[in-house]
Amino acid sequence: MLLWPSAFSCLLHPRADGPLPGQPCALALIGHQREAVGKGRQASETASDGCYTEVDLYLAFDSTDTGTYTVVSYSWAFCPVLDRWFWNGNESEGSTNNAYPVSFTLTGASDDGGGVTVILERDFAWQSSDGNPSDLSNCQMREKVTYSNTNNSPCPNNNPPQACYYPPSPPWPVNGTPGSGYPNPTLVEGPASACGFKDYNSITNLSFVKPYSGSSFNGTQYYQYSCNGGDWTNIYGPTTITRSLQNSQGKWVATASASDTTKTSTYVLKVQ
Amino acid sequence: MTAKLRKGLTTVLIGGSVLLGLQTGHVRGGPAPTVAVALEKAVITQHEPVIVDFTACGSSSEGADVELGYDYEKVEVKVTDPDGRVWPKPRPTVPQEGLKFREVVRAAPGAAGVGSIVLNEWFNFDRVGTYQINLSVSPSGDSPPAEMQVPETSLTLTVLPRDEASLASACADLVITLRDSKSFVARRTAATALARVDDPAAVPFLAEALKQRDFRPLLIEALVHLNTPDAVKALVSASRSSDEETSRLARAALLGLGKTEPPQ
Repeated sequence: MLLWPSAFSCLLHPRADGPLPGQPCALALIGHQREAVGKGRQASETASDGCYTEVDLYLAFDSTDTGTYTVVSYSWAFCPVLDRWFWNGNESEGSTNNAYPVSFTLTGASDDGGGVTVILERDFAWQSSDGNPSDLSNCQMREKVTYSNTNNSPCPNNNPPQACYYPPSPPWPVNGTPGSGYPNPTLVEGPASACGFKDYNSITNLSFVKPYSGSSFNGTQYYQYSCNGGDWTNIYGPTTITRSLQNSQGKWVATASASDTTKTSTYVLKVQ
Repeated sequence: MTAKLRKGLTTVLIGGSVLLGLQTGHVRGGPAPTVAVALEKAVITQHEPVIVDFTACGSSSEGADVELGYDYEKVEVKVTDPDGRVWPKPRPTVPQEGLKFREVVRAAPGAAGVGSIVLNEWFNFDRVGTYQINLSVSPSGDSPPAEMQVPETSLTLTVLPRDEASLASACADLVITLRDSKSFVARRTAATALARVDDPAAVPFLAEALKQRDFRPLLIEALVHLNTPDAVKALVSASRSSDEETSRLARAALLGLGKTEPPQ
């Protein structure tokens, strides 16, 4: 369901019977008939001029409704004094926008660590379902990475102020030191209209603790989008992000890899 | 046209803005696309956020993009504070973890698009006085045809002494944008700006904003940073949210503050 516009207000005379929360309101649209739902605010909330009570109305549209709509008439069963439609203080005229991200693609991957640290970069791009990227302005993208729910405690220095997953130490760095924890869940959101992002996965603290032993842990990653305030929808994933310490040909090696690419970022520990 | 867009365009028309012509030189029909760079508010009181708007207008036949780079890497800013000291935008650190989004201001043909940057992410404007802000956007090496180049722009910001009413009004406007705007970028700007208000006056507005579904990590981090009794109260309230993600983030934040048992 789409809302059009998202903050669609009308003015009601205070002396008329006020609308109740959720009360239906019939709207006639050019070529269409849709029912709107009025969300009456509390009676104590009045506009600054003290004369009118604002009411937000929402119009339900589905994915088959595209194009521009104009309100041509309206009625309110309990409020005949309703005279004009306003949206953010202006007369309303809106259009639906059902665009959403499609063709989400991994476009490249590389080891950005250059042998001196562990950073795996993956680049992604996507398109708009209607071919016009600017129509994705109502949409956002995010990554959601979750780790094991065991061994979770506040992130180092409470930065970020959330729970972190700590891999077992040894061999992983001492829990609580900077970079030793991985935010669980990791949530990073951004605009969909730019149609691209780079994702970096690293081992954020390389101070492994002896005695070394082979050890790895996984994060499960989804990329998701949300449009017009709707629910998050998975567009890519699950991808398994693996960070490991392994003994390879007599040397201890830290790696970061992802299940959607053969690229791996590799770092040979200085202290063997 | 969104309220944000109207506000941006109004600022462009009546504010001390700089209107720049399209540099790509391939306009076909109608007025050339333009990009305007302006402060959303050229006069603020202490602790109010400082927001720069990029407003791109497409020609009647072609859209236009202003490419700002991944995490605004193409945006160069220098701020001269009231004492004459020059502060460059911090160089981006080597990316280690997480997403870096491409930032583009897009304008469809015959329409306008607005993108904004909250300068408080990089600079401190706590001192009363006049600031000079020099801003430019590095051109791409492989600019697509519709990409607009933004020459260096100079903006003047005046910071007046702290005024609780002005600060509250600014925060309230941000909450309204966060609640009502359909544009993700406008809502993200509002959330970022609100989270950067380093003043306890922001707490009730952060609490209100936290009722929205988006930007929770950012808003919770701001409440943790302010860490006033009311901020903790807001976190406790959020920890009881029926939304699982919100309650989990808030509970973890309280734990990080040493609040193992949420106060009643």
